[in-house]
Amino acid sequence: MSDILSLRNVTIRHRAGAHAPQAVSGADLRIANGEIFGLLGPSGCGKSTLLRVVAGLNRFWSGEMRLLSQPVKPGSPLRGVLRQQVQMVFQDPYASLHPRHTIGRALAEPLRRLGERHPVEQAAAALSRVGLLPALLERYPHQLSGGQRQRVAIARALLTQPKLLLLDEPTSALDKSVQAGILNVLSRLRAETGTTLLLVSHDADVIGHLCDRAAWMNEGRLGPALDRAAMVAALPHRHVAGMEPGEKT
Amino acid sequence: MNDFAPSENRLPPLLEVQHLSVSVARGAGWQPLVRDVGFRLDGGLSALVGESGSGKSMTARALLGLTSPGCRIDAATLSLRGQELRTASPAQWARLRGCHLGLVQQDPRYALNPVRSVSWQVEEGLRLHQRGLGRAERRERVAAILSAVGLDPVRRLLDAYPHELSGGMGQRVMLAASLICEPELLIADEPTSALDASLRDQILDLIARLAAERRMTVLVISHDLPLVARYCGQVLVMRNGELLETLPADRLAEATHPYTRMLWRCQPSAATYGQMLPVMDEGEWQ
Repeated sequence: MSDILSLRNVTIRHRAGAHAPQAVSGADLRIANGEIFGLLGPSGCGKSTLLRVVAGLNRFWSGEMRLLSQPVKPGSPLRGVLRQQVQMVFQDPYASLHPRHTIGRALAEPLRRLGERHPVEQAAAALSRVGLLPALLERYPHQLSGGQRQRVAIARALLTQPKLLLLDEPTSALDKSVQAGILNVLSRLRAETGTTLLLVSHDADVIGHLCDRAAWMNEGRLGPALDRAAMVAALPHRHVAGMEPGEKT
Repeated sequence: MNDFAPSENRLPPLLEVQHLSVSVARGAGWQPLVRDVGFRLDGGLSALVGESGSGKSMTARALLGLTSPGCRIDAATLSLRGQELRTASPAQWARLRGCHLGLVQQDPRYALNPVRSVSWQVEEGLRLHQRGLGRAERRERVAAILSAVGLDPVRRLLDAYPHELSGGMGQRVMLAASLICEPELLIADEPTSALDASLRDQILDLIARLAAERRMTVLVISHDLPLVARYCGQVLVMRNGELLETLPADRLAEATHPYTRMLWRCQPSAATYGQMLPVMDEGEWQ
């Protein structure tokens, strides 16, 4: 299978100049089409920074990057089809939705830009894909619960039918029971569309539940990519008295 | 793990709550946020779990006398070691919170005073409630409690301000500040949800160890049932302002209420790879 993303010797800073501190140094990574890949590490290890470079949001990097087989140059924004095919879901859905735009407006805007004829119908369809009712189109972000907002953020990211979906701690601001619903949305997405997911999390349980492969990050260094078996062996396990994790209900 | 057997002496239970309701004024009437909740805490760790909006934090605030002025509290019994709390005056509440009750909040970045140093905040309880102590003694107590929560009481930490602390350190400082007057009941409201997964266990381990050492009763409030169940003897499950179930943590696997079962089993892990997680009826949160 071809790689959807490959990074070679990527070093990232938060501002221009060779003297700016390195947030990520010498990262190598290859992600195959259709897999769910996890980046795991503590706060401040550089995992979100790496994700933002792939999303084209941070241009202060050096090294080689290929996205969907197209080379991306350091310092240049994502262009053309990459802007549709690489999408990102942020940690805090409240901060990532425009507070004074209704959900319908927020969702229809990119569709209009792309020249879709029926943006509102498509926005409603996008909501139903993540398990929300079309009635939510008329609401503002503050009128939704945290879980609903994160579903809207995922629906928005899926509007342009991306090949690669970047997820930055998509459930860490949510209750456990709400998190379960979001993880189910992602599982269903992968089963139905085969979208490649790159998931950043500090929660080993979320990575273990969702990912086919994963890599650990620590203090700006990206470890080797581990396959499913090696990854599971390396995950810290929760031990709960009286229950096998994953026991069927 | 811990015992919540009745104490041998004839003391009344540490905390007794019967038919507690908290309501806010809405229009002409009162809208209940917490309805008819009853439980008893006496030693060990207990967990109060539920989703956002289930009323668990509101219940905790009622126990601490910290509900906002517009709230109405009704209860048949709300007593601490037999002392009635419903009729406590603001001054009595201040004294209770200073000397007998402790609170650890969710996020140290917001809960700590941003313009006061660590030593000032940790010491505050002693300054206000243990007037007999001299400065040197207070300083010793601050150093001792910081060591107890796993921090090195060096000058650099004592003089630090909250923004200079990491999340885990901030949470330990908050714990130290709430323990300095040796409360009998510690209420920890989501003490770990602002922290990384690796730090969560550390903080809960610490709270459990301090509770055992100090013979302190702890109520941990959380949305993460599997996490807190490992530390707690008794689990109270709340939903929509009502107490659904009270059960021993080691019986959770056999919980009968579908909501409790969902909270218990919605935990993802490597073992649930490729499976759908249980959620409540998807129509419910629309």
